[in-house]
Amino acid sequence: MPKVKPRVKSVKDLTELRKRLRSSVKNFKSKLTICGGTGCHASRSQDVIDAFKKELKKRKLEEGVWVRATGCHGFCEQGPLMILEPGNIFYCGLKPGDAGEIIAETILKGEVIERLLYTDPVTSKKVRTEAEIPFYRAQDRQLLAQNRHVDPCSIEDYIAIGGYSALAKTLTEFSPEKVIEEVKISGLRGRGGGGFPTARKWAECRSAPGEEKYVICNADEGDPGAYMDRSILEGNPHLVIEGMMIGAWAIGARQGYIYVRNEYPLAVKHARIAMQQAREYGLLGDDILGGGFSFDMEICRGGGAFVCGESTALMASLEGKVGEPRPKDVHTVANGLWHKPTTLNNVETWANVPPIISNGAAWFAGKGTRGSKGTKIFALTGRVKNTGLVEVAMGTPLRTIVFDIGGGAINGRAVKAVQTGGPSGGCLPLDRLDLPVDFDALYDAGSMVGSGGIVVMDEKTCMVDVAKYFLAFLQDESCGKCVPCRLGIDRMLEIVTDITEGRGRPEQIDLLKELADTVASASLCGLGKTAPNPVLSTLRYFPEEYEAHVNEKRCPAGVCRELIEYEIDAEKCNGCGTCRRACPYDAIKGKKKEAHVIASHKCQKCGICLSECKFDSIIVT
Amino acid sequence: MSVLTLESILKGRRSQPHQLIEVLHDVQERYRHIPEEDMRIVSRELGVPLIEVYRVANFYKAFSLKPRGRNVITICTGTACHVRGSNLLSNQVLGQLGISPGDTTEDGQLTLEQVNCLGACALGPVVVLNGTYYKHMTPSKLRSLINSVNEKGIEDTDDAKGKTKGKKRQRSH
Amino acid sequence: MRKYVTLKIDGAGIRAPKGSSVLDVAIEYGICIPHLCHVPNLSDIGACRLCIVENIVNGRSKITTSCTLGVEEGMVILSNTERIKKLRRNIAELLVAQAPNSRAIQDVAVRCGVKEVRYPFRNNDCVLCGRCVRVCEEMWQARAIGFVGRGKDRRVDFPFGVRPDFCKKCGSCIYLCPMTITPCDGPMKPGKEYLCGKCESQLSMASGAMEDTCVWCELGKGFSVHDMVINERLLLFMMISMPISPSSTLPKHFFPLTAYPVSYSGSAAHDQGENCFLRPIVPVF
Repeated sequence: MPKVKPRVKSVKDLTELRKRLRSSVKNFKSKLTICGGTGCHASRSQDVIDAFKKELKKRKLEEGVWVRATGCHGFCEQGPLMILEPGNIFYCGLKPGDAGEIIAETILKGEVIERLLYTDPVTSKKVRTEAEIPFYRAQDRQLLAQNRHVDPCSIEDYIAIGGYSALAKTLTEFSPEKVIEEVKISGLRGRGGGGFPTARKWAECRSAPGEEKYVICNADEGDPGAYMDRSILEGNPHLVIEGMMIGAWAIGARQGYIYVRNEYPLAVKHARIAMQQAREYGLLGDDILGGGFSFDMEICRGGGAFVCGESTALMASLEGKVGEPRPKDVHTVANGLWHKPTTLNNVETWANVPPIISNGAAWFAGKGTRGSKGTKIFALTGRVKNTGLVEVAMGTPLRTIVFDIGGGAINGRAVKAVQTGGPSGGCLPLDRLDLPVDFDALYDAGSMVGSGGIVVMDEKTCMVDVAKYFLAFLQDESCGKCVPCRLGIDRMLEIVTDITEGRGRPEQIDLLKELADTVASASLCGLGKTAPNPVLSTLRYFPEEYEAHVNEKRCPAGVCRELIEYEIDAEKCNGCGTCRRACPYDAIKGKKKEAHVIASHKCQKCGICLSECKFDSIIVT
Repeated sequence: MSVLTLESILKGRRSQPHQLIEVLHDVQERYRHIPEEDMRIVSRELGVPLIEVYRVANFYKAFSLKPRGRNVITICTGTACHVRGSNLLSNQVLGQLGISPGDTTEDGQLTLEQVNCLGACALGPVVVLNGTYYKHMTPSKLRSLINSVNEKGIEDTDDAKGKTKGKKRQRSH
Repeated sequence: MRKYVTLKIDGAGIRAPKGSSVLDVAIEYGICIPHLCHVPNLSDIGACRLCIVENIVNGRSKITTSCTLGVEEGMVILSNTERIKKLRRNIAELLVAQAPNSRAIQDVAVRCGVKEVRYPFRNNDCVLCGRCVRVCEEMWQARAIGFVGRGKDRRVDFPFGVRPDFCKKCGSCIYLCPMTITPCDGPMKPGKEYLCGKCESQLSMASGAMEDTCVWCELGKGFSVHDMVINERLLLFMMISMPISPSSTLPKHFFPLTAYPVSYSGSAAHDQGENCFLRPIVPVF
């Protein structure tokens, strides 16, 4: 790594720097790539990295082995993950204690440690490389694949794999109009939820009157159950910065902002470091690459408000105000941040721009469906075997994602529904899983692609409870400015709570539908307009569950507290006492090695005993 | 004292109303909550009306107007964690300590908070204790975690926090 | 020179100055679009959503609030379709269920066609229309009150819940509040939990208007210093005649009303020139 960072003043400088960086990497005998994304970080991957460094120092092998922490590899479930070159050996579930063994066996002798390999859950065979794992095999990883080659805190890594070459190409070969034309041909649509054509947004912003214009990157990923933006910004921040620079060149902006959730401390840190490094190299600032283009950016932390994902609310928040949306009768491309023309795109949208410029629009347009082009990252979570980030071409059926990549539901249960699009999306039943993931197809089915969360639900999930969960979330996150959203969601939650607590009346379901229509049609911003989707989609596809709650006062999935009772099956209970100790309300009595009993008057139906019992002896009636 | 440290936070940001949220973040990080007096100073120095400062501090979830406990347990209630039973964890804390989200125990030892998503969905349900993530939590794991906090008190957890912070710093270079 | 555009509202061709909102134009031409949060001369925030209209663009109808919609050449606006009426009725129903004992809100609801309320009543003081907040901020530049909190916890409050020094007790907030009209305790009485729809707006009665004066013409009356002086007596009358008891349905967030008559009759506050009623500040437009 060069000590004094030379300023890159022209495209030629950049090419030479890249050559130099590439040649310096070749000296290493083997390369260890350990995932340091939030998921693996939570699995203590940092300890593993430290253990490797310590062990290598002890054995005086630092010169020959390159240890590198990278961004998220996607397969967070199995973390911490490691890829070892040469050989591309994939180890998972690492512990700091494994470092010595890996160095002794794999690095020095070249032998694979069977114990640390991934086991294919279907064939029960050990798998050696990433490419053979079913989770990765069915994917089409364009953006995510870069993560494993880049240390997010090192601009040199990014430049070495060809970073900022798209920017160089733009500044030397493309006029702003040509960039917009290229993006238009590629068919890129906004990845944040709405699916608005990116090129149209840029063109409108470019033609809007005004000298001062802004570009904003929306990294306020508030959708619960989605984290692809975090993983890109955290794992490859320069890709986003480069995308924003190309966008800024196209629309004529000189200033950019990245608005990041405060709940993503690692993303904030990596983006800040990346920006600093880009400035040091002269890739941000005045006269970038000698092309006469000046651009700088700032990072702003969000304050924890879902509504700030809405463009006008986000801009208000950037101005240091309360994140309340305002009416969008004049679009933000003409009247945005500080009433100046502003282009706001999601992290994933910006990240798609450099590859489109480098590889050409036709490459991007070659993937996907007629209306939705390219690849999209989804966060596959919930009650599914393989959870993690999944990047597939648009148009891939949901079934492929859930079963081929995700491996189906956990504990051998049946998948009941799939929730897509977060709180703005809907729940799709099993028989709709052949739908392709495509902006228009999912919208027609009553859900949406949204920012790309896919939550798998099995038979132990109550759909009315899911609707209640989303309503409670939205009621909490609504800014409260307009009446339909504030009072409408509140009343919808009131009704659904009545239903889950056994007070539901049949006519309330019609009222719920009417109210949903009012909220969807009359609300001020996108949050309110899409808020009824979880209720409407569950009402549409799972009416029998609502009916069971209302008419029979019964929760088929055994979730709604007021409608269930817990009992202990005396035959199955062996008196281990786990449940007795776990019960926070002291409601379980019984002698050791004898069947226990739940005192129903003390039982608060918290469900803790059910989750703790290893012998399935707690029954829900 | 409070003014002195606030001085460093406000440095270079005076009369820049758009810095309000960033300033409040820094105040929150320093004191774990935002004292009223500081809000008045921030209002004066940034040139933001007092009501606007109060509104911002009330609107965003990241800001706390009440002093928080020495330890903060955050339970993720994102969709992925919810379907894997994160509500059991809130029930556990309610049953064990008698506090609901947003509350602090009477001895000021522990504050329970909920967050809508931490973006670590694959590891759900996730619990964060003073910045350290704990994955695949169950009520019993949480119970022993709370017990360990109550036994060790502030010192050990502070050490642990310092340690992870140190590590992070190390990694960035 | 002012530029004019022509547009159609409910089929009527209208020539309107550029820059005005659809709602303003409609009111001027006698087309009654219900509204609550809109006050002339104050900014429009589109919060109550009662003034929604259908804006027909390229044959597709887009529902939006008319107060925030600027007029444009060739616009086609439908303000009274079945769909709009239904949505408006549902919104008014939500509002009146929240504050059933405000006669102004009752009036709004009845005129929007609410026959029955399908939600349990809540005895709330405030519908968060924001009239008070905007008059304080925009007319007097005081910013003594504001919306605090979010979602269902949103409320109008002083900073830290304490009346700040820069609140001059001008009373504009109370003047514009739809809740400060003599309350009706009917809907909250046990056994009488319905809206009779019989009493007309107390506001229109108080100012001596005809019985059938539309409440919006009163609620929507412009706010100016001139108005304030004329209506000063009415306001005083309202404040004194208001029952000040724990059951009072006045918004709790406003300072105690007892302060008013006292400060008027030459109290310390008056001597210090804190009261801006008698010496109006010239508003800044």
